[in-house]
Amino acid sequence: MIIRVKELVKRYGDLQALDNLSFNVQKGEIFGLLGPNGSGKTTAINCILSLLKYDKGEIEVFGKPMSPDSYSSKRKIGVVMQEVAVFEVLTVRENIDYFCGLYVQDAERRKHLVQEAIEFTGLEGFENFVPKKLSGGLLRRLNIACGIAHKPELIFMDEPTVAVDPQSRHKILEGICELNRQGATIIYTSHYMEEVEQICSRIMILDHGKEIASGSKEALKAMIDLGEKNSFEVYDISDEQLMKLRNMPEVAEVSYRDTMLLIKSHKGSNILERLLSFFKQESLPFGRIYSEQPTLNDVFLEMTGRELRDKATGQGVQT
Amino acid sequence: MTVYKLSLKVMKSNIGPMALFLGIFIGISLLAASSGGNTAEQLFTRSRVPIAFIAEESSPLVAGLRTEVEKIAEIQPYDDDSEILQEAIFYNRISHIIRIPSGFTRAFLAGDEAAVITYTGQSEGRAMYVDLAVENYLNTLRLYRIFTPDMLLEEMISHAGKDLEQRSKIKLLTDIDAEGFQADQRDNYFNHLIFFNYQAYSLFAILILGISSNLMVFNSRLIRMRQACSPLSSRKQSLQLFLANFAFALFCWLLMNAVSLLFIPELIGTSSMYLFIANSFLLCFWASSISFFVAHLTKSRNAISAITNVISLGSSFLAGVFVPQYLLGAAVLRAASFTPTYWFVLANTQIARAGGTVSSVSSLASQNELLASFGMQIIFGLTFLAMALVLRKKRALAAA
Repeated sequence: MIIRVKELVKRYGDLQALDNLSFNVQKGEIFGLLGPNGSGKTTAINCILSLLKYDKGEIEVFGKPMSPDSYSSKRKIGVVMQEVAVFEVLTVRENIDYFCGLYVQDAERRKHLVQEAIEFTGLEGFENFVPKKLSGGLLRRLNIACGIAHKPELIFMDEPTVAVDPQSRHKILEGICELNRQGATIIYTSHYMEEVEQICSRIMILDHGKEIASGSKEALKAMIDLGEKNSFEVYDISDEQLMKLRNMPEVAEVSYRDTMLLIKSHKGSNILERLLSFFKQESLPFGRIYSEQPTLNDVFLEMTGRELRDKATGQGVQT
Repeated sequence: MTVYKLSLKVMKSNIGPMALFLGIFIGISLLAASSGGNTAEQLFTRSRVPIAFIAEESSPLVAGLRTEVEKIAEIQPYDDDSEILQEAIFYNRISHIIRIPSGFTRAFLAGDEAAVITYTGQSEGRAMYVDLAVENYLNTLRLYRIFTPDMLLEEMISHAGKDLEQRSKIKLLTDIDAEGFQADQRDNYFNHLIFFNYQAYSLFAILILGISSNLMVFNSRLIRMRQACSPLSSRKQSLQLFLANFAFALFCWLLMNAVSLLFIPELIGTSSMYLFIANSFLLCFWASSISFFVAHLTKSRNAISAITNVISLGSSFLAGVFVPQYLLGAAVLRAASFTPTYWFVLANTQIARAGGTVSSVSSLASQNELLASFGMQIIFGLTFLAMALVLRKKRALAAA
């Protein structure tokens, strides 16, 4: 076991940021902490890294209690922060070399590690650029390179893809999987459920500093009643037809808004074929059809009554 | 030494503005040192008033008067031509005309009204000074004539001349005298003491500016967080940072002292040079410590110059860098003794007072007075360094 967190409590005055949070992380995992903004993901990471004092609980990293002076454990840890933390006066290469130098004293070895980090994050050609000359995506990649250059065994990645273009995001996520394949254990926080679903082997959903659920993505989805979700582009449908759909035993929920008819089924039901028959029988014309499996957002929605992300802005829900 | 090297690199990136500040502050120190040596006595020079002296008769009395007037005036060679004399006075070639009328000597000796005729141009003030000298001379002779009627005129003139040579000596009390310096130490006193005292402002100011600008880069919350995650302890990071900043301070200190020796060459080889430089080194140490501490409290670049002025100028004014300590009130000095600047200035004064001989300096070095001044500066330096290290550790923990 790489990390053991037991009954962790952190308060900011009256606000309980972490509420008896407990979890373990095994070697070789990509462990996802998923939750809306303000759910306690970053607070949990900061407590584990001893950047924050906590009120109650126990934290062990690499089998030893974690404290600000746990330098032998810190040597094996890499941190990629939510915000870009680099020196403006240094170039890309100098920044990576500096942060790697805090862990690796041997200059020759460091030179190789820095070069590997540059190649790994796709920063070739930008080595001599200062950070203010880099785009947002490249800056994020530099932030990652600074955190992983020393080849840590355990990497904390706190929302590393916030405000990143799709190309850079893809590159970053690919890189994280590659690091994991190379043996690194990764703690990954995000409020982007797609990312967590894509890369994490185990996920913990947090809300208001509390664990809502945890397990593999399949296990999490199995916890809810929702089966598949089918959406049809329908220009005209009567109330009577909607009622007929709602009365189908496999159907859990029907909603119609802006020409989109959404039909959610109960777990274990595959009703796409049945629905197509219904449309034919009712002579109901339709355009595009989408069919999808439940997402972690659905898990969060069913468990908390709220969505992980604010649909209007695509940003996380403030809690 | 990763943090140390990076800190030096960050300083290198600030080299332009720092060189400019360093040049300005060294210039100010040299200017102050070079102008500081001019005492009121040195600044005052007596000028001689150009006048015309027209004597319509010749006698020992007139000759004596002319000799007396020549002491304060420059008698121009003009003939008794009223047109030429008027033109000369109009164009300010002369300020005054003294005319001795015919029968003047006889009238004077007889005790009759014997008046010197004078014409004054535009410089009435200067003319008054000449009139006063004439009146003074004639009144002295009148006294001899009244109280020693048997004395010959030549004797009277001789005595009056000697009497008038007597001058009341007025000596302005300067800080040299007030602080007990010997007369032969005066010239060196100002150059050395003022230059070194000014370092308390110039070196202190440049160190606060430089170190604060440098640490601003390291004091970013995100950088502190990232560094707190590393296996390099907060204590090691802080010490490396301090060492790098102290290296910068040493560079500035060396440059300032090298310039001082270039511009004050008479100091080279004297025994007091070593003590001045030792005291200056202590200034470098405590100024670095205070700057290192202050830099951790500075939140923005805009605040740096304000803080620099308040601390360096404030302590300099309070502790007697610009105004000698003997002129400051007891309460001010008591307050100033809580600043290291006070002890630095005091030590400089003690060194300067001892002069430059080997024996005086070695005996001074063994005196408790100077050692106490040095010791106080070391205590201040260590205290601020310890406070800075504690503050840095606390802030590293509070970074998140």
